[in-house]
Amino acid sequence: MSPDLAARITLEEGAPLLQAVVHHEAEANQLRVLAIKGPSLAVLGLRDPRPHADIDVLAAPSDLDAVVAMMEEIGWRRALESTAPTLLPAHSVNLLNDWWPLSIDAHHYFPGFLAPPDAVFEALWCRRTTVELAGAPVLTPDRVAHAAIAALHLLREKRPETDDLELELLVQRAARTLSVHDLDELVDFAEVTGAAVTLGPFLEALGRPSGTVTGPGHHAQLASWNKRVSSPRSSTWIYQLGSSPLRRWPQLIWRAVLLSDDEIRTFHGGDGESLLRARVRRLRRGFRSVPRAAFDLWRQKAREWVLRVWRPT
Amino acid sequence: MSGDLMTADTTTWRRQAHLAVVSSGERVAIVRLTSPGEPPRILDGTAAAIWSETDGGRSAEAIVAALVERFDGAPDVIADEVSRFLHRLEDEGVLTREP
Repeated sequence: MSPDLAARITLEEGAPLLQAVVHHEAEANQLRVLAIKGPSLAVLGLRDPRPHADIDVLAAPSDLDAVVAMMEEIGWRRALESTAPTLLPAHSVNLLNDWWPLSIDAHHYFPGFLAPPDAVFEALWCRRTTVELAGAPVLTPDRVAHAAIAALHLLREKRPETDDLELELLVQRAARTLSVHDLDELVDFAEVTGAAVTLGPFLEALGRPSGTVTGPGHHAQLASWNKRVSSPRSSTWIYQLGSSPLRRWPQLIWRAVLLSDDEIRTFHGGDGESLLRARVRRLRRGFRSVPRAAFDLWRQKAREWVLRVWRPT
Repeated sequence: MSGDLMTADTTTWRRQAHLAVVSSGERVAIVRLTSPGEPPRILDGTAAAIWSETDGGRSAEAIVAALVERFDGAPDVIADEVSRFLHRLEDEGVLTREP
């Protein structure tokens, strides 16, 4: 059979099938993997079913390399990695397979949980439950933990035109499906995983107080998180410029404007869109974000300068 | 195949264990979890209808009878085609049979 025939699999069919495959393989190889977001979220009643262009799995941090190797053994390969700067550290490996129309995002941590990845995974593993996807068992975080994951995803990837509504829908679903006891557990879970502040808007919408930053190193992570959730993704290039010496600027600007064809195709191309059109669309979006990012950067630099110059004794 | 022959075919067909299956209307997508490197198998139309009749393990006779109800065509022709297809799915490792 050729990959063309396999492409007849739809995204609706692909996501549950692929989660079942990953779970079965992980169990056979004694690796700890949880299905996150996607169809599991729908089964748990936190979202309506819908097609997915990828599936997300969270591996125990120490198992991630083995999970990637396990999938490579059965025909998956690492996708091209973006060279664009990011405000948050890389959190997943993207895997592709010509037989499947969707990719696998294998995470070793989930942005927004500020506690150490090992501790977060253990907290999620303690809250694992089994759902049935494609008629097969799949391990996934329970409804409480999954509500936190889904909320962090929406808060991080916030697009003003759609995600306010999505977050509101998630709040409604969570309010409907989580008991008072579950909501108490959600607050505790957010504390343990260092997400009490990052989940603040979600917790407050559910009538619970957001917490405070408590863990070591959380302040710096929270600053990156806040910058990420308040900035368009394209503005990361501006922040990269701001933290680089002037002599590196020409090289950075050149890279920002002219990503490789493969990167444009992989990360910025729409369905059937030409490379030129995708480049123009990306640049237009990037230029629109310049004033806001430049202002944020100027404010940050000014604050640093004031703190450096004005030191009360 | 005549009614007598259909009655004579008491082979029971069952789905293999360790399958992941998504059914939606007239389509079925199947992955053998024991051979995860293989591409997903898609069944549609009458192939999907035959598959749907194997749920829970059924005799060839019962499968054919159900399909004769659902589709136009001579029962013996349907029985032949169904038998061929069931054996093909057995070769592909998604069905098993008990005499």
